[in-house]
Amino acid sequence: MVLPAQKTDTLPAVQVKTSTIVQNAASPRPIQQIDKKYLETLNSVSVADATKFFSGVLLKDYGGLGGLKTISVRSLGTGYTGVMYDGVLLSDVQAGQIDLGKISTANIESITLYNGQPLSLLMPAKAFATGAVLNLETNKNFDTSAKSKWSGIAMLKAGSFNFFNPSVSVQYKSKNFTQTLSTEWQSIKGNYSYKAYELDGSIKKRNNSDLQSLRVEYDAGYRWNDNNHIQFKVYHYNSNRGLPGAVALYTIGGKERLSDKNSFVQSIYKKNISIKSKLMLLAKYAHQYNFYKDPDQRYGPQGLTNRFTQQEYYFSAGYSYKITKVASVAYSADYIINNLKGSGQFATPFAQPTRKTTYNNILLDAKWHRLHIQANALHTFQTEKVENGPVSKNLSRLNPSFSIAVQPFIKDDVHLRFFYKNIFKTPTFNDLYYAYVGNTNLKPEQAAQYNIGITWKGDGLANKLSVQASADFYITDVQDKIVAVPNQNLFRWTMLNYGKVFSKGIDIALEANATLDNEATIAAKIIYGYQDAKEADKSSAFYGLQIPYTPLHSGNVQLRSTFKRITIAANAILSSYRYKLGNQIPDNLVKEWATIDLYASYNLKTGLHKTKIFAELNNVLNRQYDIIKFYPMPRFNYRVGITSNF
Amino acid sequence: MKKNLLLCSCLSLLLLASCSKDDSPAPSVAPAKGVYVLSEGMFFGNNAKLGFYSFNSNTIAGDFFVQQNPTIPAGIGGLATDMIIYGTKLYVVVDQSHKVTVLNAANATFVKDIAFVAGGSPVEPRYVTTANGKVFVSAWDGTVNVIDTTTLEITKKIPVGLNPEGLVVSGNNLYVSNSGGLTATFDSTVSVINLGSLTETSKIHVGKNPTSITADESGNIYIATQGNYASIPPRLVKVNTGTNTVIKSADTTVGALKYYNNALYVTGGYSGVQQVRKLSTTDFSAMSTNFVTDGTIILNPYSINIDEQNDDVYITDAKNNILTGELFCFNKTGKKKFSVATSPGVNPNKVVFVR
Repeated sequence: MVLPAQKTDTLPAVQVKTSTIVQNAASPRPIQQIDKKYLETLNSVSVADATKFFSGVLLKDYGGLGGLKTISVRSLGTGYTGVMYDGVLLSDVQAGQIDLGKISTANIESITLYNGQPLSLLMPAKAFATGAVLNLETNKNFDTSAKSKWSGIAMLKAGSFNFFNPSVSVQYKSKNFTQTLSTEWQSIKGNYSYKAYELDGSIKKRNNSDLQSLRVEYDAGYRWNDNNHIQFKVYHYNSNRGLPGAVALYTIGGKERLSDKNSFVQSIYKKNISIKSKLMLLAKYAHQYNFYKDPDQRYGPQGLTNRFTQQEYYFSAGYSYKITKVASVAYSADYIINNLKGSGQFATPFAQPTRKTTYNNILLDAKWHRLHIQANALHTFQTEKVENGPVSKNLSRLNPSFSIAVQPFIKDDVHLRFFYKNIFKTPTFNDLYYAYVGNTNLKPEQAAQYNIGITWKGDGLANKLSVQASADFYITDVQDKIVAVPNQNLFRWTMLNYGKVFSKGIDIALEANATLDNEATIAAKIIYGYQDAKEADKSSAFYGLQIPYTPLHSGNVQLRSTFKRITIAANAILSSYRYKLGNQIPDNLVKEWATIDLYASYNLKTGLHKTKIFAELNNVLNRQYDIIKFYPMPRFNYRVGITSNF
Repeated sequence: MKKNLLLCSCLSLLLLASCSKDDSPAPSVAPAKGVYVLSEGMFFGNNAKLGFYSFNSNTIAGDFFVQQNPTIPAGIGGLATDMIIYGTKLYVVVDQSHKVTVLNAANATFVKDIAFVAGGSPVEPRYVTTANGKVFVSAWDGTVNVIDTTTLEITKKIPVGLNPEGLVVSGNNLYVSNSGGLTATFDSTVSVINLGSLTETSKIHVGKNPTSITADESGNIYIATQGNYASIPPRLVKVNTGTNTVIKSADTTVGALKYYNNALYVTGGYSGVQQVRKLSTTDFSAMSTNFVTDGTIILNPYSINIDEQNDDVYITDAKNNILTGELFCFNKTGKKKFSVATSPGVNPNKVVFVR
C-alpha cells in the first residue's frame, strides 16, 4: 500500500489504486483516503458529499447543491481544517472556512483526510498550521496508449431538479511535458420539495435555490529528469446562486443572491539535490470576488448589496535532509499576504485589512525498525494593517506536535499510535472587522488534540479476504472559542473569546474486502463515531451540555460489489439527534436522521476507450431531514450519467 | 453564508429593540384575570410563543397558543415583535412569518392571519397600536398599515419613512419612528399621521435611528434614538406635539421606553445599563437608578408593561437571548410580587392584560 503523502513527493509515479478508503495502518496519525474509483460510488457531486463518509467528520450542510457545506473535524469547529488543493492550501481569510460544496469531484483523483497534518516531509509550513488537513489531488495522469499523445475524459450527468453537469478533460503528454485542461459546467434549478414545517401534511418547494457554475483548470507539468520537476496550475471558478435561507413558517423564502469569481495560479518546483537532500519552492496568487444582493424592499429601493474581494500572495520554500538511515529533518518557511476589500451597506467604511503571515516549521522524522516518530515545531508571526478603524494586535506563536507509531509484535500487523498537537485558529476578517459585530481585541482560539489508537490488518482464505480495523480515542480541548455573544454590558452583539469546548471521542472503522474470483469483488466498511463535546466554561449557562449541532453518535455503512462489468454500491449514513443551540429545549432539537444512497454502473466498453453508464439514487427512503434546522435537505433524488475516455 | 449569518446578527440587534406604547387609558379598569406574555423567539427560530399566566391558578401555560389551537401545531410563527388587545380581539405581530395573527382575546383561539405583502413580496410587520376603531401596524416596507377591526383586512397602507418601528397615539395624531435601521445612512424622523385623514402630514427630525416611542397625557412624546453605532450616540428625545419640535434631548441608551404616571420607565437596551431606570419627564434625570428595590436581579430587561388597574409593573427578562425567558411582576415601589419562567418562550417582549 502506498502512503498518500509519499504520492505528492514522488510525482508522477503511477499508483496502484486500492478501491477503498485507506486506513493507513502504520501511520502515527489517522489517515483516511478515498480514491477516484471509490469516490464514483459515493454519489458525490462535490467534495463535501464525500467527506460525510470519513469518521470524525461533521458536515454542516445547508441543503441543496448551492447550499454552504463546511466540515468540522473532531468537534474542533469549522476553520480548523486546512483544505489543500494540488499541494497548496486554499484560503478564505474573510470567512475562515472553505465551502467544500464549491469543489467538484469531477476531476478529483483522491481525497485524503489527515488528522493533525499530512505525513510528508516536504510540505509548505502552513500545512502544519491546522487541526486537520483535507488533501485534494486532481487527476493529472490519464491512461494513454503509446501511440497517441492526446487523451481525454468526458462525462455527462443529469438528474432531479434540472441538474445538468457536463465535464471534459483533455490531456497532452509528451516525454517530459504534460498538459491537462479540465472544464465543467453545473446547473440546477434546485426546487426540491420538502414536508412543510407547518406540520399540516402539505408539501412545499424550495425556491431561489438554483445554481450555475463554471470551472476551468489548466495544469502543466515539466520533468527535466527524475530529480527535477515543476508543476504549474491555473484555476478558475465562477458561480451564481440563490440563497433560499432558512424556512420561515407561514410565508415564502427570500430572494438573496450570491455570485463568486475565484481564481488562482500556482507553481511548485521540486528538486532532489542528492539522495539525501530535497528542495521545494512554491508560489501562488489567488483572487476571490463575491457579490451578495438582497433585493428586499426593507433595504430601500436599491436592496442590500455587498462586494468583497480577497487577494493572496503565497511563497514557500522547503528543504529536507536525511541525516542518517533512521532520521530526517525538514524545514519550511512560508510568507503569505492576504487582503480583503469590501464595499456595500454594511461594509462602508470597511477596514480593508491586510494580513501578513510568516510560518516557520521544523520537522524531525525517525523510523527505526517498527517505530516511527515525528515531531515538529511551528512558529507563526502575523501582523495586520487596516485603512479604517482599529486593528488587531500582532501575533507570535510557537506550536508543537508529536506523534509516534509502533508495531509491537513482529508477526502481527498490529500498530499502536499516539499523537499530540497544539494549534490555534486565528480570528477571521469577519470576526475582527465585520460591521457592528467585529472585535479587533479577539485572541486566537487554542486547540489541543490528543489521540491514541490501534490498527490491525489481517487476511485469510488464501489472500482472497483482507480485513482492517482501527479504533482511535481522542480528546480535544478548545479554549478561547470565538463566538457571537449578545451581552447587556457589551457593545451590542460582539464576537468574543467566550467558550471552551472539551471533547472526548471515539472513531472506529471496520473494513473487509473479498475477491471471490477474478471477476467479482465484494467490500464492506462500517464507520462509527462517538463525540462527547461539552461546553466547558463554568461561567456559561450551557456548561456541561453538548455543543450545538454535534451528534453523540454518527456513522455510516458502505457496501460495494463488482461483477464483470457491473459495479453496485449502497451507502447508509446515520446521525443521532442534536440541538441547534446550547439551550436544550424541544424548539432547538434537530432530529436524528438516516439516508440510504444506491449506485450502479455498467461498463459498455473496457480498455483505453472505456465507457461507462451509471445511476445514482439518493435518499431512497425519501426521508425528510435537516442537518441545519429549517434548511430542509432533498428527499429522494437521482442522477444518471455516462463517462467515456477518448 | 457566514457573512449572512453575521448580517442576521446585525439585523437581530435592530429587531430586538423592543417598544412599548401607551394603550388609551380607560376611565375605570377592571382587575386583570391574567396576562398574555409574548416571546418573540430566536431569529429564524420559528419559535414565537404566546403564554398565559392565570391569576386564578398563579400558573403559566407557556405555549398557550398551541394548547388553545391544537390544529396549528407548529405554533404562531417566527419572531413575534408585538401584540395588543383591542375590543374582543388580540392582534399578534409576527415579523418573520410576515403576518398579523388575530385571536379571540378571551381564549386565544385563532380567528385570522392577515398577510403582509407588497408588490408580491412578503413584508415584515413590526409594532402595533390602536385608535378610532382601527389597528395600526408599522411595516419595514416603509408603511403604516391600517387594519379594519370588523373586516380584519388591511384597508390602507400609509407611506412613512424607512423601516418604521414603534408607534404611539397622542391627540388626534399617530406618531411613528422611522429607524432606517436596515439602511446604510439610517432615518432620523418621526412621521405624523393625522387620524382623521389617515395621511402623513409632516415629519419631525428627532435624531438618527429612532425606535421606541411613548406619549404622556400633556401632548409630549418621547423617543429613543439608537444613533449610528459609531460617532452618533444613542439619545432620549422629548418632542412637543403642539409645535412638533424637540424640546429636550440627552445622551443615554434606551431600549424599551414606557411613560406612566409622570415618569419614564426605561431599559438600557444593548449598550446601556442593566437596570430598569425611572426618569423624570422634564430633565430626564434619574428618579431612581434602579426601579427594583428588593435586590431582584433581572439579567436582560426586555420590555416594561404596567397594569393601570393596580400600578403593577411587569418586566420581561430575555436572559442571554438563548435561554428561555422570565416574567417579573413588581409593585409600584419595585418590590417583586412574583416571577415565572416563560418556558418554552425565548426573548419575552410584551405583556397584555386580560380583564
